[in-house]
Amino acid sequence: MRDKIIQAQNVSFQYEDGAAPAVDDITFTVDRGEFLAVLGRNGSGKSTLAKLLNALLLPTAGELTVDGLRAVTEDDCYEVRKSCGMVFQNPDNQIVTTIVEEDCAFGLENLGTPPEEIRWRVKAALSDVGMSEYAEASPSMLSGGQKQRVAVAGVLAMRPKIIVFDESTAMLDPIGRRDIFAIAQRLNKEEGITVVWITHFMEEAALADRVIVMDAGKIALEGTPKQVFSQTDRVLALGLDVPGMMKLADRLRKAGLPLKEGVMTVNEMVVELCRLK
Amino acid sequence: MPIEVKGLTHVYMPGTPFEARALNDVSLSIRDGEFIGIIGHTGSGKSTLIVHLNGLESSSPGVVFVNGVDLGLKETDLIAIRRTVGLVFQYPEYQLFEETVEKDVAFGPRNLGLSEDEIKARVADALRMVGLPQDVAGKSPFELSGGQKRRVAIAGVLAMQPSMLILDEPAAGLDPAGRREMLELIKGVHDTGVTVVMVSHSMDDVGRYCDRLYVLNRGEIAWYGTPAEVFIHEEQLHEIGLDVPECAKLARRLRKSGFDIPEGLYRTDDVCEAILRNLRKGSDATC
Repeated sequence: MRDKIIQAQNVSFQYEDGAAPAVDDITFTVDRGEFLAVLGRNGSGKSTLAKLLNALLLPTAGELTVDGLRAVTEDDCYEVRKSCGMVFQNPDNQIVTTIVEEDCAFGLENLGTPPEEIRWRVKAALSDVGMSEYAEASPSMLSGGQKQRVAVAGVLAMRPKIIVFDESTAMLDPIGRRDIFAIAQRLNKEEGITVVWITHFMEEAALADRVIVMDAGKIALEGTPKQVFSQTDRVLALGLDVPGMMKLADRLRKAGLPLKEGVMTVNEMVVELCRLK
Repeated sequence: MPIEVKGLTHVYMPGTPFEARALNDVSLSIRDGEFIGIIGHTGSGKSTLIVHLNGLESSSPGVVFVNGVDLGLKETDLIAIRRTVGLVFQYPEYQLFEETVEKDVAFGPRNLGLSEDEIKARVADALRMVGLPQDVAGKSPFELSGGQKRRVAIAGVLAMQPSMLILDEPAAGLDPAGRREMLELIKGVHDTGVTVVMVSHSMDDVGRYCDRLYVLNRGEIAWYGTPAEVFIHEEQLHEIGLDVPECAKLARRLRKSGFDIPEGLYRTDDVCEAILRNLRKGSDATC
């Protein structure tokens, strides 16, 4: 059995003014090194879940362990946050200084890391996201995608084991989106960082190891992208979409073509159709 | 309310080290009743372009005519232009400010000096057009969900009864169902005879809804035409950071692999039928 880096057992969270719990009695685990996508319509509890994972919120019920630390009391919350970094949706809301490298150093400075170490860690982090040449630039001159890369670097400098991306590509253009997704994939594959990728883009979720779909605070669907997206009607009823090629495959099958299950990408579709020709 | 843009050039912070040419010799024309898509990556000049269309910005060289009126002339009544060319900024929900939804939507009409009855009627109409129940009128806009707030903001523009609606990324940040609803809402507005200009990053969305597209790159119009005419340039679009709809990609790849598929297909229906025609020769291909 693979090592479980996140274990959630009957976790709930209720906001003080909330009528129903935002996260409602959910149980799941995440493997170390996994790329997990979390889907769900607006208000389904995705962001609340993200904030629980790095102890920005503490569960109102249930047991949650993140990298061996209990994320249920304030005792360990700083340790949890070091272990589990977070990249938010709006790049403008997470930049605090006027120079890129200072922004990346912000977390480490607050931990009292020696200046020499801060310097090389920030340098390495900026190089990791391809922003070295902007180290001394002002964040205000950067594009949205570049600002998000700086935000990722700031998290990387903290050496987290897990990074939660909470719709980090929602406000970016296609290039910015591709960049940030590629960076997350590379950190996952090459550096073994566990990634929790919250998104509204089905094409991104299709490339994850596993998908969780939230609805009304609960886990509505869970499985590999193929298992989840093959339940087309269910996925649509949950306010989501299925990748375009799966929709097309569905229609071709209904028209009588013997397409194999699980065709999700243009490449797979071309191969499959050429086989049938 | 046709719009004609000729040779528009806009430079930000001229004469400083940060000087940036946002628009360079841009010309375009928008006819009454069209649904136009404007696409381009961040920094391509889309947002700069649309604020010229209702005279929020003016530049030279270049001219913008709305209904034949030159927006650059001193005597032009820009207030009147802005009443007819409604502009919905990106994330317009951040612009809500009033205590109630009703007051927020009524803000524009009230400034027009309309009667209370007329204002009430316009607010009710606008809320209906964006698909919000009338009972949200008395609520604070800040109690609503993100998607509902955005509808309130659009209602505020519709309450001015513009004959053209320009929207900057109206579906950004919404979930897939919210995105479909928002686009259907805009289509509904277009169906009432309003000319629509929609800025978008999504080729799928503009492919589905727009009559014609303008692709901006580095402040210049790189391509324009019907979606089919634009999507033919898949490789070049990719180079400037844009994608074509997946079905357009598929059609092209299949054509290269020896399938008989005409150029310019991008709709799922059309591609589906073309595939069936290839694989089931002789029999009827319906999808």
